[in-house]
Amino acid sequence: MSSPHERGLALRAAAGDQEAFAEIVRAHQRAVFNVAYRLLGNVRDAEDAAQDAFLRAWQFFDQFDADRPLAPWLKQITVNVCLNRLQANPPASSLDDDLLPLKDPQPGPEAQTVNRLRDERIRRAILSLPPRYRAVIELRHFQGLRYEEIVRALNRPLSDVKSDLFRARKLLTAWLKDVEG
Amino acid sequence: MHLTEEQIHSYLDGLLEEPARRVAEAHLTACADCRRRADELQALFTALGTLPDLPLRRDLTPVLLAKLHPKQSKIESRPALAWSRSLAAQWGLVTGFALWLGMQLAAILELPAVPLPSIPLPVLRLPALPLDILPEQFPMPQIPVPQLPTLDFQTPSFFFLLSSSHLTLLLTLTALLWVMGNAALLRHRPAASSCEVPEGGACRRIQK
Repeated sequence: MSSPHERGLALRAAAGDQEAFAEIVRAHQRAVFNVAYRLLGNVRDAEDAAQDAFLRAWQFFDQFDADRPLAPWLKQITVNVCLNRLQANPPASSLDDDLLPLKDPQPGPEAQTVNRLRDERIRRAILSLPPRYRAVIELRHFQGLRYEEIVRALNRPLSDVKSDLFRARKLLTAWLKDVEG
Repeated sequence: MHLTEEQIHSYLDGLLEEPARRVAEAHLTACADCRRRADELQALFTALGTLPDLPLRRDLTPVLLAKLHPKQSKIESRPALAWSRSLAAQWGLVTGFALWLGMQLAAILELPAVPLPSIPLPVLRLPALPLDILPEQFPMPQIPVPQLPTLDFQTPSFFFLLSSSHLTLLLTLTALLWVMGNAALLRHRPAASSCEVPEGGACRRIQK
């Protein structure tokens, strides 16, 4: 259920109101960018994919049910856009050093630094996965979708979704255990 | 007997129903090996769940707004455009057929070819400065031109009479159909697939 304000914005955007759409973009761009970044692992590609996702949303806003919350819809479009990109251009390398510009140049206290390193390891571990594994991890753990919702989102059988999810988790656990030694 | 991988994942995902959930819970309390596997997975879930969002390097709004097309005009223009294209195609077909019929009739009735309108050449002639104004000071050299051989050209005749005016009309018609054919082939198609936008369900995106 969306808030009355968000519902109003969605209805205005569906009617072609660019100002309303701009407000939606400002409110959701960070979340959408992060979905794309977790799947693509590259800042520039993630920004492009986020823009693509918003443009798709603009184009098909009249199909959106304004009574539902916007964020899951936008995130799912982003996942589809990213998966299409990964399918068209499979990543040459699983890891991308484009993570580096996002590091905080000013190191904070020791605990913060440790946390930051841990976060970076997790991001790298996710990016080491094949795209279809990244997708199920994104949908299950970052978007909180249930199995049957992932099945609908990816249009794949439940057995495939479960198998990919379990394997992805196993790989991530092994990768993190290996890195943390 | 240990818990299967699926049982552990389902237990942690909260998908096991009673009494399977209670059985798994009892087993995890008793079996150190299964508990270790479950703890590792739980640690991963926590790590993923607490991963913070990264900041954006720049606001995407201005770039996006510059790329937007006004939705209203997009929606309204489509039927009009389709109608005009359809009309143009029909007009082209009717004109083409009429021309072809006319040519056939002209051939059957042996009508004389329609003379092309003569264009008065002086109108098109541009002033040539060196030749018109300064012929005295700069006399042009006289170059002897060899006599060219005469060509015996006969108008090709197919199953109908093909005069120069017919040929002109035929070429015009061909050009017209070519342009219209291209217009039909290059007609507007939406850049995005609506499939990427979830409505009831999304499309399969990725191959195994």
